[in-house]
Amino acid sequence: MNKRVCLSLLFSILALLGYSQQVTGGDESMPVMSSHDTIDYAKLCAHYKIWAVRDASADEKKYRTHEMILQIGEKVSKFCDYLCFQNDSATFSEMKSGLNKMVIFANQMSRARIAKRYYYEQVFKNFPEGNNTVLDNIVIKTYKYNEEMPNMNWTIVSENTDTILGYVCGKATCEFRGRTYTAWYAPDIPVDDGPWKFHGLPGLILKVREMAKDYYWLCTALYQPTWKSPISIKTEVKKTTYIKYHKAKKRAEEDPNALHANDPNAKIRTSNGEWVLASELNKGKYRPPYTPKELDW
Amino acid sequence: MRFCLLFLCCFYSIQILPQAVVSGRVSDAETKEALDKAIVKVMNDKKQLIAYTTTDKDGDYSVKIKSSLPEVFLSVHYLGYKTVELKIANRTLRKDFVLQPEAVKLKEVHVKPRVIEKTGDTLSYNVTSFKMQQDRSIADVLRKMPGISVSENGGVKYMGKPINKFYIEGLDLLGKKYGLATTSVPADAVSTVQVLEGHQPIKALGKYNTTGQSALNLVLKEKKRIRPIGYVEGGLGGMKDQLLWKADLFGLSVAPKKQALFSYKGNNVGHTFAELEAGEAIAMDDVSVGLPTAPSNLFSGIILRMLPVEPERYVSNTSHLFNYNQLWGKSAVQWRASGSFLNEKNKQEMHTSQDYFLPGNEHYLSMEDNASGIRRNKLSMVVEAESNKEKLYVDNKMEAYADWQYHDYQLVTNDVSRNQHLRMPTLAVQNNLKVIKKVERNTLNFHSYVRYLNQPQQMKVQSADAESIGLLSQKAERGTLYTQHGGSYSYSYRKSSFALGALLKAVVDGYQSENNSVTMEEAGYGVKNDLNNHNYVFSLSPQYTYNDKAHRVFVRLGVPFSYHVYDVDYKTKDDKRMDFWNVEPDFLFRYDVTDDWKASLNYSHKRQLGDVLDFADVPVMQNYQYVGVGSGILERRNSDTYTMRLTYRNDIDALFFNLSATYREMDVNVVSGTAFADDYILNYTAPFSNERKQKIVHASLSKFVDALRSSVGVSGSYTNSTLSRFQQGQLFPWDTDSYQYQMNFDSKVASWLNVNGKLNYLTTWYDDGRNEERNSRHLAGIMGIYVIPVPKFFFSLSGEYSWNKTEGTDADRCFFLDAKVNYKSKLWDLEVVWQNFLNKDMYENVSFGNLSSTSVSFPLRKSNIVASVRFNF
Repeated sequence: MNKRVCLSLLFSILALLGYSQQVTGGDESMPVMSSHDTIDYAKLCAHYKIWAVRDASADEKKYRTHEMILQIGEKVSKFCDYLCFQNDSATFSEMKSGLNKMVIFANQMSRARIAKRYYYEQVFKNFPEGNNTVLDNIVIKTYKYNEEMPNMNWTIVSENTDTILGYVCGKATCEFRGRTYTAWYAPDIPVDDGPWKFHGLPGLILKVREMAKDYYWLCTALYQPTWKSPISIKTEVKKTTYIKYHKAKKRAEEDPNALHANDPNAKIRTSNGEWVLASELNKGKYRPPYTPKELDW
Repeated sequence: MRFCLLFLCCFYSIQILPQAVVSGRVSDAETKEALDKAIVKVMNDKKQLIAYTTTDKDGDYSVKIKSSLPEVFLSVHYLGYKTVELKIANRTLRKDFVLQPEAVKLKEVHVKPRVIEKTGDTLSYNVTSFKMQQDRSIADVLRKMPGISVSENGGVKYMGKPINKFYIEGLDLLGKKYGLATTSVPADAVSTVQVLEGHQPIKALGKYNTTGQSALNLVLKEKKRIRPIGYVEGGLGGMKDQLLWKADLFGLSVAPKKQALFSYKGNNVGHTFAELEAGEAIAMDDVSVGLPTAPSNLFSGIILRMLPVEPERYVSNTSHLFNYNQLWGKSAVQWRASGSFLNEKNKQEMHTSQDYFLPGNEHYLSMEDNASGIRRNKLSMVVEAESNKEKLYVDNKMEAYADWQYHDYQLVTNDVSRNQHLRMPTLAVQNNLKVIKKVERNTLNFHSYVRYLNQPQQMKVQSADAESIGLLSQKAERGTLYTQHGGSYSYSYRKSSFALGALLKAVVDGYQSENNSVTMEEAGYGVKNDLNNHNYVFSLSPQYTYNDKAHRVFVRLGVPFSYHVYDVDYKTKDDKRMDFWNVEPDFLFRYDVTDDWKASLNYSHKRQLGDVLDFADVPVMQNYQYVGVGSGILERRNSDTYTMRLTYRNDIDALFFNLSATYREMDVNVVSGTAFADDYILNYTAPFSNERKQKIVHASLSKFVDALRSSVGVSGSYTNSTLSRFQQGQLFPWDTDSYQYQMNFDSKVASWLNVNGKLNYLTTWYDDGRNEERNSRHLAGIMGIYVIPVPKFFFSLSGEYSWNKTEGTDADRCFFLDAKVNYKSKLWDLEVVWQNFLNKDMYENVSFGNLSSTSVSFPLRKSNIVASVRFNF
């Protein structure tokens, strides 16, 4: 116990030392936040809730839910996790205010507690022009792939089926990369956009239901920002391709031990203080199958 | 043939449909720049969409029109620009559009959490959406949540079923006494109320229970978890010639591995705590099957009648309740300790006139004035250790309580004055151990329950005339040692599970009584009883369960059979022995039609047994007026019950519906009867085949209407029951049909006005086979208006109306009016309540009971004012 207290004290003092160094003009190159580029400004924002299946093979499907934001700009739109968006926005404003980088870094670390709840996938539509850019984290790195904006062959079922957030919605269905979707769009919002990669309907898509009930998106809020709301993209990313991305993602989700394949003797210290072979750590532990939205890779 | 033709026609029509292509460019009128992703729609004359497209990066579009119409509508839409719509000829042509910028204000919908969020099997009710200015405790808010109902003492039902666990931040601190939390935890401290549907608290038994019951979890606001929360409240007031007071202290500390709750409540303003202290029935489908219920007293006091108006209007009390609950540990072993002390004095005065229907259209009329004082002290302690792991569950709960009840009555019955004193202590100590071990597909289950109970009770009845002392006295003592040990083994294979349980129950029951009643001695009933009873039960219970989660089907079939032995050892006469077999099959079928619709069907055959004292055939003086005598045979109630339930819940629309229908046929081997002698009334049971039938249909619907910011609930139920009973030696049927309708609403009409109301209508027909059917009707309505002129402050006016009409008598009407003024800041809460300011002081009510009609007049609490101050910390 005492040892633990001593160590904590030591770290606190070290942290303070580090802080005081920074004040006197220490390491200016310390990375506070990966660099971002502003590529557009949002003229319309829509919040969505996504229900993503945890284990598609289970008898009773359980879902994790995330609050997402769709920023629609003049040219580009971005669909990402709202918590992540807020975190980035907070860091932006801190950087703009000229706050000490060490403080910004500390704030970022405190906010990082919630980062484990992020839905990391980010979809940029029409960026670059005519293309989609998708960013996602695999283990600790952010990967990016580009693809041509896919053509979604929607079949309009009816023009007045439901009311979502007070908007009369039309209903359409389409098959997209191995899954069947039903979407509800609002003709009164003349924007060809929607959650994730969905687009191509004569109105903003407010709700999408996937037939196998693995995914579900529902718009929960809609507003036109009266402030400057930048649409930014992380630049320090590793480029990959659509197929490679899915393969790597599947590997990371279904067998995290495969990551240690290069070093079979790598050891990890557990919470009990024991050193165990990294490859043994999660052996035998059930991991749900990778259930991507796209099945055509 | 017709289909073939139709198909051909369709095919032909497709072939001949002309296909025009309209193309063009869309640009900005001011900058002349191309507009990318503008929506171009083609519509028919009914403005139905035929085709659509979007412009490319150069603002160009091209849309194919497959229509035979000569003309179509072409429209271009772009956010921030005026929509342009044209009628064009249906032919290939080029049409460019120049759009004028226009400030477009979309109908904005801001981030607002849904009132109910569903994640898996958890429904999360957002407290802010339901909370109104006048709500103080979380129970006040829970009452407004659709699908949830809350009793006066904080007991919670979800979809008509009592909850099986109550958690605060995921920990079960209070057990069955969770009413303490629901009635005390400030509504402001709770962020979310979670309903865990089908929750199984024992991890080793899987995730879901088989009874379909749910649990409730209070999620506190982030700030309220950091330090203890609570309040101190004191109030003073007056009622004509009486000083009124109330005091309340509540503290709750919530940490991840430690929770504690302390509360003291005291008042003389009509809030009693006996039921709050007793707690709620928490039924769990685990090993604690068939445990005995709390014992009843050996004498029956003349209890306060429950009137169909709010209890605070007629209860005259002085009550104190102290409670302390503590919980430690989370993962390995969780310890719980609690202690409570209840001190309560109730005074009651009433005039009763009871008219018993006798054979030959005769009546036995009993008129009684009763002024009584009922005192109760109850001390109880519980220590529990629980280890709840995936593979092993161990729980041991030790409980001890002492309950002293003293009743003093001053009675004038048919012009004879008496004083009756009942001294009724009950001392009990019990221990319950449960162990569940899971090894892959095998589950082993063991439980052991022991209870020792002692009731040395005494009754004294004296003439009001001080000179004649010792009119009647009776002592009675019952001591019971109850033990129950059982185990079961179950094996799961795929979707099926087979279980076999064995149980051994042994009860040693001693009863002694002695009275000095000359009347009873002369009537040949004897004045002394001394007996020991030994009761052994051995049972085997095979059970089959089929759980197909993919098809959402659950089936359970159990056929428990048991062997019972009763051995009564009389000290004064010949011993008695009896043994028999019982089979009690049970079948449950549950089908979740969809995620929202759930249906279940249940059949059960039960054989319930009466008290051993009936079998022992001993006369017991229940009080100065009633003598109870057993029939000499054990009462056996064979019942077949069929229950159907259908529930629907839609979290998005916040709509909850519940329909249940029960049909029960009961065959009892004895009939209850009442006989009237000069000095006493005899309650007895006689061996006679007695068939009872009961039909109950209940439906309820509750919804939260977001647009109106209102919760609305309606429910209706129908109950029909038939039975027979002896009255003065003659057998009478006793059939009742009753219909009950209820409606309630809570509405935020405006930011400055809240309104709530409740309406209850009950009509019952009675048929005793002598005359025509008799009818009694009751209507009760409560309505409150809360005006909030400035935030933090409100005043309210609420009215309660009660109307009662029993055939053959005049209607009784009652109207009460109360007012309240409240100021609430972050820390302080000031309140002045003026109750019954119309000063209604007497309540009269006529009701039908078991072949009798009873007229009661009851003094009410007079007009009174109480001002109170609460400091929240």
